[in-house]
Formats: sequence, C-alpha cells, structure tokens
Amino acid sequence: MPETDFIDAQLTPATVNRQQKLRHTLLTVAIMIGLFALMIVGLVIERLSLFIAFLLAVALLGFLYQRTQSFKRRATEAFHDSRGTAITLLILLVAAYPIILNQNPYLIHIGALSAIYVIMALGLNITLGFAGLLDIGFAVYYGAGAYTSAQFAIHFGTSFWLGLVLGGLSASLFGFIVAWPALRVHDHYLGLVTLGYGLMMNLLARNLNFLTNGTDGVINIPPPSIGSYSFTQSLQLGPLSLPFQANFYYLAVTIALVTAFVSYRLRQSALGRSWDAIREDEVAARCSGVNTRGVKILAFSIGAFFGGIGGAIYAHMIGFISPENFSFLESMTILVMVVVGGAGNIMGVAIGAIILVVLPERFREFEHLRLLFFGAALVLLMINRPEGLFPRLRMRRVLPAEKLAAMLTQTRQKTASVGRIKAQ
Amino acid sequence: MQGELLRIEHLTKNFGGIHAVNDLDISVGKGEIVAIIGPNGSGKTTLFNLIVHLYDTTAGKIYFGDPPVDIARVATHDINALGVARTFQTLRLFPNLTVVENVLVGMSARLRCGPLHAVMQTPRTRREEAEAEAEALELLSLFGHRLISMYNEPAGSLSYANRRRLEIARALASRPTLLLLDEPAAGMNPTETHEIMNDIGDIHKRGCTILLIEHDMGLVEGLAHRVVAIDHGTKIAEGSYQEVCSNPEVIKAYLGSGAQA
Repeated sequence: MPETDFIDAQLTPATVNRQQKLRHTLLTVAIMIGLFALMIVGLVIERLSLFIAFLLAVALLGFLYQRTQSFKRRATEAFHDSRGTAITLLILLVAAYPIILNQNPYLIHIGALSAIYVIMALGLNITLGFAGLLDIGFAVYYGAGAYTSAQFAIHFGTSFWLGLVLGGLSASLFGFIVAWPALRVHDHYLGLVTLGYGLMMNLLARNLNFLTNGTDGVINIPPPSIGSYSFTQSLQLGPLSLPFQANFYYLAVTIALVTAFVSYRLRQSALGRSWDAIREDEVAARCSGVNTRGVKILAFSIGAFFGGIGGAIYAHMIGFISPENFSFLESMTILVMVVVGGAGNIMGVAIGAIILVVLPERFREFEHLRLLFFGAALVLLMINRPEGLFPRLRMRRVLPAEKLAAMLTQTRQKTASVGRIKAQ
Repeated sequence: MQGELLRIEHLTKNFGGIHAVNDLDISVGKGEIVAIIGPNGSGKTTLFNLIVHLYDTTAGKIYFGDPPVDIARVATHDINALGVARTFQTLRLFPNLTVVENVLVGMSARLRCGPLHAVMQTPRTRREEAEAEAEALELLSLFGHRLISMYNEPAGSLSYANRRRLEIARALASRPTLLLLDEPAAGMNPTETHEIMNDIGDIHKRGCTILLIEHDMGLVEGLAHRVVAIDHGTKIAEGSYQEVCSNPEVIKAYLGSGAQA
C-alpha cells in the first residue's frame, strides 16, 4: 500500500521519539498535578466522615492502579523518560504549597513538620534502606542534633546555621559510636543493640541535667534568622504575605530536597554499590574487597547526620525540646516511615514520612484510639506489600544499544572460535 | 617456576576438637595452576577460608606476594587488595544487583573516590566510574557473549553456569595475582565444563596464578601443573596428576582402606 509507505516515510525515528517524549512529559505532568491536587483536597477536608471517605477513595485508586498493568507500565516509563520535568515540577509544586494554603498556617506548619521527618526518614533510609543495617534507636541522632544546636544557641549565642551543622556533626558522632558495637552483630541482634542504645541515651537525656536540663527540657530556643530577618516574621513574597510558618516550611523543604539529592548521588556511587553488596551478602562483599567495617560506619554516620539536621530544625522551629520528643516511640515512628514507604526507595520513604505525619494529625480527635487504627493499617499493609508502598528500585546502567551490539558481535566470534576448538 | 607467590606453613585450624586443617604446608609458584583434591570434608574449602581470613587460623603462617608478607592476620578486604581473589563453591553473588554491578563491586578495593566525591560528582569520580565500567565490560567479554548479553539483568536471573562465570569475572575485577577457584565446574554439564576449562586457561594466560579445588578429574588433568591431595586436613600426596592419582594413599582416601588399588 503506497499510502502507508508514504506515511511511514514521514515518521522518521526522530519525530516518533519527539512525539513519544511529549506524550510522556504530558502524562508525567498530569499525574503529578493530579496527585498534588488530591493531597491538597485531603488536607483541607474538614469533616472527619468526609476525610475517611476520601482515604477509602485514595486506597481504591491505589488498588486500581496496582491492577492496571498497562497504565502502570506507561506511567513508569513516562516518569523514567521525563525525569527532568518531574523534578522541576516537584520543586514548583512544593514551593506553591504555602501560597495555595496561605490562609491556613496550621497546614503550612504540618508541611514543615513533614519535611523535617522526610529529612530524618531519608537519613534512616541510608542506614536501613541502603546498607541494610537495622537501627531502632534513630531518635538518638534526632535528639543529639536538637540538643546540640539548641544549647549552643542558648549558651554561646551560636547562629542557627552554625548550630545546624554542629547538630548534624554531633549526631554523626553518636552514629559513629554505636557503629562500633554494631559491627559485631547482625540483623535482629543489631536491632537490639541500637534499641538498647536508644533507651540508654534517652535515660541519659533525662538525667544529665547540666547538659539537657533533664525532664524539664530546654525552653526559649531562639528561632533562626538571616541578618535582621527573623523566621518569626511573616514572609513577604512581592504582594503576597505568607504566615511566618512558611519560613520554616521553605527551610525544611529545601534541606529535605538536598537530602534526597545527596541520597540519590550516594546510592548511585561506588559507596552505594558497596552498601548494596553488604546488604545482599556480607561475606562475598568482604571477599570482593569491600571494607565492610568502613562502609558500615559511614552508613551509620551519614544516616545519623541527617537525623541530627532534622532535630536541629525541629528544635528551632518549635522552640522547646524535652526527652519526651526523642523517646523509643519516636524511633519507632521514623522506622515505620521507612518501612511503610519502602526501604531503599527515596521517593517512597519521603511519601511514607509525609503520610505518617499527616494522618496522625488528621486523626487527633481519636486520641489514643488512633494507634489502634494505625496498628491495623500497618498489619494490612505489610501483608499486602511487604516491601512497603514503593519497593526498592534496581539501579539500571543502560549500556548504549550500539555499544552492546558491537560487544556482542565481537564476543560471539570468540564463543564461536571456542566452539570450533571443542568440535575438533 | 619463577619463585613463590603463596607459601603456607604448618597451617592448622581447629573447630572445637576437630582438626579441619592440620599442619598443612602448600606452596604455589608464580604462574602455576595448582589443583587441590580430596574427599568431601577434607578441609579444602576451609583452607580457602583461612587464606582469605574468613576464619582465624589456629596456628601457622600464610605468606603471600613478593616480598612475602604473612597475611594470616590481615583483614579480608585488605587481602583482596593485596591481590588474592576467590570464588565460592556455594555461589555467593549479589542476586539483586545487575551483572555489571556484581563485577563493579569486585573493584571496590581499587576505587578511590569517597562519599564527598560521589555527592559532588567530581570529574575524578566520573572518570573512575567510566573506567571501571569499561573494565567490567572487558571482563564480562572473557566469557563470550554469555554475560555481556545479560549486562543489565539481575544476577539472580542468570543460569547456573553463568553464575559460576560471573563469580569468576567478579573475582578478576580486583586484578588479582592469585585466583582461588572453589569447584569452578561443580554442577556443570560436560560441555560447560570443557568451556570453563578453556576460560580458566585464558585467565591463566592473562598472568594469573591459580589455585583451584575441583572434583572433576578431567578438568584437573587438563589444567593443573601440580596436584595436591588432602584428607582430614593433612596433605597426603603432591606431584603431577599421574603421580597423585596412582598414589595408594589417595586411592585409600577416596575409596576406603578396604579397596584394592
């Protein structure tokens, strides 16, 4: 048929590629804006009955998504293909959040709190998700960062920005300390060691009054400032005036994005590969030249660093910290964020953290009953998705097709010649 | 033989009251292929585990390199960095990592760029990674198209024989001077065994000294310059393939004392 031939001739591979690329970009943008809108709707629904109906609808949507293989594959391809667009849009949407919810300082505060937990969950994700080291004492680093930064600011007048770094480093030190005994044990026993460490450090925070002011906690932690601009002033963006919570929101969100970026780069690196290797088979890793001690210590220290950063921001945002903030329950919460989101998956862990900050806030009126619901939801989730909402992605290094083809012809010749030797 | 690469002296390993390796002396010359044979449970794999320090030695010395260094107390990953790499009898790949990533992990001891370089993506990191990948590709191509065509697939999806090949490629990634192969032909059919024999020959030609454990006598006969037979952790015979195979001690160890030679 000459007509189709003509059409085919018009559609050069480049044109097809461009059309496909455009379609992928549009699909990515549509999905992201849709999900963002869904999240905003979920946040602003006031009536509890409506909110529960909303949650059920979202669950149904997720379930349907699981079932429609073709759409799932297309969406995955689209995101993979237009990663640049997706990241730009993500930054834009995140930046737009306080502007959209301008009238609702509470929700902006929740946004900032979510971002802080995203930072900490991503920190634990490095230890647990990347290196596979179970740490049930993560609140130690959270506390170390918060106390260090707060006490330096109060007693030495250190600026928040320096305190942030000091908080991170002090948390790193605590991670480094637990790494030593942790090197000697594996799996569940490692969980017990870190659990004990967490309980011990919490007890110390309650009793070392000269350092932590004991159970009374530390009050009047100064808010961050840039020059004469204090973070407790409302934020002026041109004609727009945002509530002061937006300052903390933008601060925490920026650091959360940086944390995600650093996590990504680490995962792609030789160090990330070494973590993968010790997670999969430590003995084989050691025999392949991986310094297992070294990379484990790094996993604990780097993970703890981000825990400390999160703690420092928290301390200066709330202005008050006490040992209650860094209890065993807090360690558990951060652990659950990572497991629910999907250990090893950066985006999944971030979403897990957001869900686990927002939902308890929404169910505040149920008081302690909400833990019951949570427990049940967690059990259901783990039965249906044992790897979390977003399972770990495999790293993919794609060998360019022409290079692969060249290698294949070259090596086939070798195999063929070996075959000939055998035949003789 | 141009001198010794590995010299094991009076090596002993006790597990409780059991002498898994008992006062063993073995030496491997530069450029040699030495095969270790012996019945199951005779201490062959324990010997490998002692050489790479997965187990602590009870007594004895393990000298490696030129000039010789006692590596009995050196950490496993440092032994790898010194130039000893091994494969495992029970395959120990990283099943969820891709084929090429498995090989890249094998280069860990040589890669110099730390976490800061990785986060910054310095030109040095990028160069190092590109070079590593090029070398991985070259190592995979040692086995023809078999591994290259599976480049991006998880190692867990490989066929049994390909997993054995990948283990060898991963071991070679550290550019070892001494390669320890623990039953490279176990579970392979005769064609595959023949092919792996050729491959090991090629690897030897690249300048690798090889110490291997093997039950397949065809492979041992075809490759080994020298054969060491051990039983109950003690050396019972050493010499050429013919010498060792006709040694009455060896026949007794394999067939029992009642057997007629």
